[in-house]
Amino acid sequence: MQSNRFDAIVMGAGLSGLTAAAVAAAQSRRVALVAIGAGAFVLDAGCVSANEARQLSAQPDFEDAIAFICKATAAAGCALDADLRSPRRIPSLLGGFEGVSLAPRGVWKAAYSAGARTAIAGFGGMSGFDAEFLAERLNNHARAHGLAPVYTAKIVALPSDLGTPLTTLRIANRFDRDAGFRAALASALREAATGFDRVLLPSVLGLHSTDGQLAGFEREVGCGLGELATLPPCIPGLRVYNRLLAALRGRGVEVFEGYPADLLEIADGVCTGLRIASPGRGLLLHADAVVLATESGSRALLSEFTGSCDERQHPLSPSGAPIARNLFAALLPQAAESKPDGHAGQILAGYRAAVCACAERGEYAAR
Amino acid sequence: MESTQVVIIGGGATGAGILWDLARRGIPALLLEQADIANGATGRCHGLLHSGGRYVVKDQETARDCLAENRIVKAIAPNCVEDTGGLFVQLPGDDPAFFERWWSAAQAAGIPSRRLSADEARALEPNLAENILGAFTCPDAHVDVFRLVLANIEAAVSRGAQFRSYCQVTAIDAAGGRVRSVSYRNTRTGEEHTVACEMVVNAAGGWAQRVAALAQVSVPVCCDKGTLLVLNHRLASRVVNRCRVPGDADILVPAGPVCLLGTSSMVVPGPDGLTASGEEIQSLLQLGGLMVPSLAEARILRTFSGVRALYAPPSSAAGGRGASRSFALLDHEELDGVAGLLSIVGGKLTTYRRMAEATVDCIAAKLGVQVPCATQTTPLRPVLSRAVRRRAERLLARPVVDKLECRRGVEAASVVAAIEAQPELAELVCECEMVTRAEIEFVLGSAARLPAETIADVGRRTRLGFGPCQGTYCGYKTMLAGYQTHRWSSEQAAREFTDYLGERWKGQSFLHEGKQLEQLDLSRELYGEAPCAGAEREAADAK
Repeated sequence: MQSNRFDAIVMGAGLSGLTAAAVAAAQSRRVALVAIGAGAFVLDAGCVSANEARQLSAQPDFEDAIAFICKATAAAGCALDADLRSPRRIPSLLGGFEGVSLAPRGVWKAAYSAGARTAIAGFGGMSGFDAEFLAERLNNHARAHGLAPVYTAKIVALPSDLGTPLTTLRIANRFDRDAGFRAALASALREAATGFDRVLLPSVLGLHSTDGQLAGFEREVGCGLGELATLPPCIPGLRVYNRLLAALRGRGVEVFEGYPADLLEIADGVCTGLRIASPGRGLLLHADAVVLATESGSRALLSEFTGSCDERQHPLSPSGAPIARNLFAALLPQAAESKPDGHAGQILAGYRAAVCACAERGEYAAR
Repeated sequence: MESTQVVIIGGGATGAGILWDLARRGIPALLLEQADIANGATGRCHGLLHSGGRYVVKDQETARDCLAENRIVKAIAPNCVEDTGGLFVQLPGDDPAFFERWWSAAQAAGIPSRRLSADEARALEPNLAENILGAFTCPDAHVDVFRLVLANIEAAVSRGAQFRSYCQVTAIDAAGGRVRSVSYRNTRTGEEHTVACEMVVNAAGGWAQRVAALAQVSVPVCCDKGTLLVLNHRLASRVVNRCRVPGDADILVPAGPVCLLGTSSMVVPGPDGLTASGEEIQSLLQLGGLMVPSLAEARILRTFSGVRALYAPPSSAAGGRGASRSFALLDHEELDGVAGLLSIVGGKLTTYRRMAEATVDCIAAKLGVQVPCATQTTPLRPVLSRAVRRRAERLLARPVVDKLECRRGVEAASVVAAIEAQPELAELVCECEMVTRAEIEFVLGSAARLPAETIADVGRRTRLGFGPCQGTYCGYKTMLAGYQTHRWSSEQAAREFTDYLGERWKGQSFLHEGKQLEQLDLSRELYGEAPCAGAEREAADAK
C-alpha cells in the first residue's frame, strides 16, 4: 500500500490541475495527478486575454502564479510567454486582434508587428482555415486601428498527400513522426517566405515538439514563424498539455490517466483517501492533502460542496465550515457568483490551492 | 412594372402549400417572405404530424382532418417525414374517464390505435415513467418543417412559380376596392420593388393583422406563445403524448438525433421579440419529467418560442388552448369590399395542405380557372435515380448518402458531381447532421432553387448547427465556404457569422450549468464575449 501514499493528490489535469501539480512537484512533494483528459484550454489557443489579466491583477499572488507557470512551462520545453504590463495584439479566429497577456510561445510570436512584412500561409483544401480570409480581415482591422496593413496570404502546397479531411491534427501528427515531412514543409514555407520578414501559419507544428525543436525548424525556414489559432482542438494548447505532463512525470509525479475518481473518503473532518474507478476494482490513493482541480468532478464527489472556499482554499459546506481540513479546491473566491474563470483564473486558483496544500506536512516527500 | 397573377405573403407551411397548389394548377404566383422559409410558427413548433389523437376528444372534425392530412403528407412528402408512430400515455392522477373517452373517440374518428398495458408501453419506450398506467398507439409522426416548406416551394419553383426571401411587404395598393399591386423592400439590400397582381393572399400567420392593415382591413388573430426545449438525445423513438385534456409540456417528439419537448401556452401581444422565462423552462422540464423522468438528466441544447396565430373573431371569447384549431379563409371582398384579397389564418401545420387547397379553390373560382386540386396525390418531388445513388455511395458513407438524398432529392446529383471533381468537398462540416462541404456550397450557390442568403438559411436547408455545437464549428466553416465560393466578402462573411452566432447564443442564454454551458463558454472563449456587440464597437471605432 505504501506505493499508493502521496504527499498530495491533484484531481484534474486542466490548467489549474497542471499548475497545482507543478507547484507541489517544485517543492519536491510526492504527487499523484488524476487525469481523465486534457482541460478545455487545449480547445482554444490557450491565451489569457488582457481583459482577464486586468481583472485579476489586484488578486494576491497573481503575478507570482503567472511567473511560476511561465517558468515551469519553459523548463518543460513548451513555454507560455506573458507580459502583464503590455498586452500584444494576437490575431483571432475571425481575423480581428485580441489583446493578449499570455499565450503559448508559437501563438505569442504571431502578435501584430508594425514593421514586419507578414505572410499568412494557408494549405490548399485545409478544413476550417482560410489564409486569404484572415489576411483581408486583419488588414482591414489594422487600418481601422490606424495601423499599417502588413498581411499577405500565400497558399502553400503541402509536401505529401495527407488525405481528407485535411485537419490540423492530421498535419500535426505527421509533423511529429516524419522528419522528411518536416524538411519538405520547411522548404515549402521557405519558398512562401520569399520577400517577407516572417510567416504565420495555422497551428500544426506538432503535438509534442519542444521549443528547441521549433526554434530549429524556424532556422530551417529562415525567418520568424508564428502560429495562428484554429478551430478546436488547438495544437499549441495540446502541446503544452503533453510537454507539461511529460515534465511532471520526469519529476516523479505519478499520473493516473483515463479513469475518474469516484469516491473521496472523509472521516472526522479529514480526507483520508481518494478512489479511482479503474476497471475491475477501484484503486485507493492516500495523501496528506488533496487538491480538487475540477469543478464538475468535485461536485460529483462532494454532495455538500457549495462551490465556494475560504481563504485557505478549503471547500466549504452549506454551514460555511471547511469540509475537511486537508482538502483544497482550485477556486477563486468570487467564482461562485461570476461566470467560470478563464485561463488566468485557473492558473491562479491551481497555484493557490497547491501552495496551501504544501503547507501540510509532506512526510512522503521523495528526496 | 413586374407583374404576376397572385402574390402570397408569408413563407410558412401555408404560404408554401398555396404556392405549390397554384403552380400545380398553372396559375402564376410569387411568394414574398420577410425573412426565410418557416420563420414564424411553422419553424417554431414540435414538427408533429398529428394523427388527430390530440384533438379527438374535444373536436372530432379537426381530428378527422388531421388524420386524413397525416396520411396524405406521409404519401406526398416521404422525405420530410419520419414515421415514428406515437403513444398516448396515461399517468396516475390524470382523469381515467378521459383515457376511456379518448379510446372511444379515436374509434369513432377512425384513428388506428391499439391499447397497450404499462409493461407493453415501457417495452416500446423504456424511458417512460415506471408508474404509467397504460397507453394507446396512434400514427403520429415527426415532420421536418423546414424540409416540408422547402419541398413545397421547390416543387412550385420547378413549375415556374417564384419565391423571394428577405422581402418585407411595405404596401398593398387596393385603391378603388380592388388589389392592384404589392410593394416590398428587400431587407438585406434595401432595394424596393412593386409587383402588379390580380390577387393577394395574406398567409402571414402571426403577422397577418399587420399585413391586413396595409390594405386597411382587419384580421382578428390571437397570438398564443409556445416555448419548446431541444434535448440532445432521442429520449423516445415515438411521439409521446400525455393522455389528458391538452396542457403544457405534454408532447415529446423525436426529431433526427434530438427530441423536442413542449409547449407552454400564453397569450402575447404579437409574434416578435419572444423570450422564454426561466420559470417557463423549469415548468416544462418538471411536467415533461412526469412522462419521461430521464429528461432531468438530459442536456438542453436550446429553447425557442413561437406563436400559434389563432383565428379569434370578436364573437368568440376563448383564447389560447380554448380557441379553435381549425382555420378560417377570409374573403375581404365579401367582408370589407376589397376585391382580390384573401386571408388564411389559424389552422395547424398538419393541415397546411388542406388550407392551401381551400385557398386556391377560392382563387381559382375567382380567376375562372377550372383545374381541380391535385396536391393530395402529387408527390412533392421526383425520386433520386439509382445511378446517382450508386455514385454517391462510392464517395460517402451510406448514412451520409441517406441524409443527402432526404434533404436534396434530385439536387443531390450536383453535390455528388462536385465531390467527384474535388474530393476534399466530402468533408463533413456538420457532423451531427452529416452535411458535406459540397452540400453547403451547393445550398449557397445559384444552382439551388432556393439559395441560402445567411448561415441560418443554410441551417434551415440542411439542419446544420442544430446539434450540440450549435454552430460553433460548423457555422465557422460555413462562413469560410461562403467566402471561398465568393458568395460573401470577408467582411460580410464575418458579419454573417457573428449574427448567426449571436442568434444561437440567444437560444442558450438561459443555461446556468451543465455540459451545454461548457459548450457555450467554449464558443464565447473562441469568438469573444459578444461578437455582435464587438462588431458594432468596431464599426463605431472605424467612424
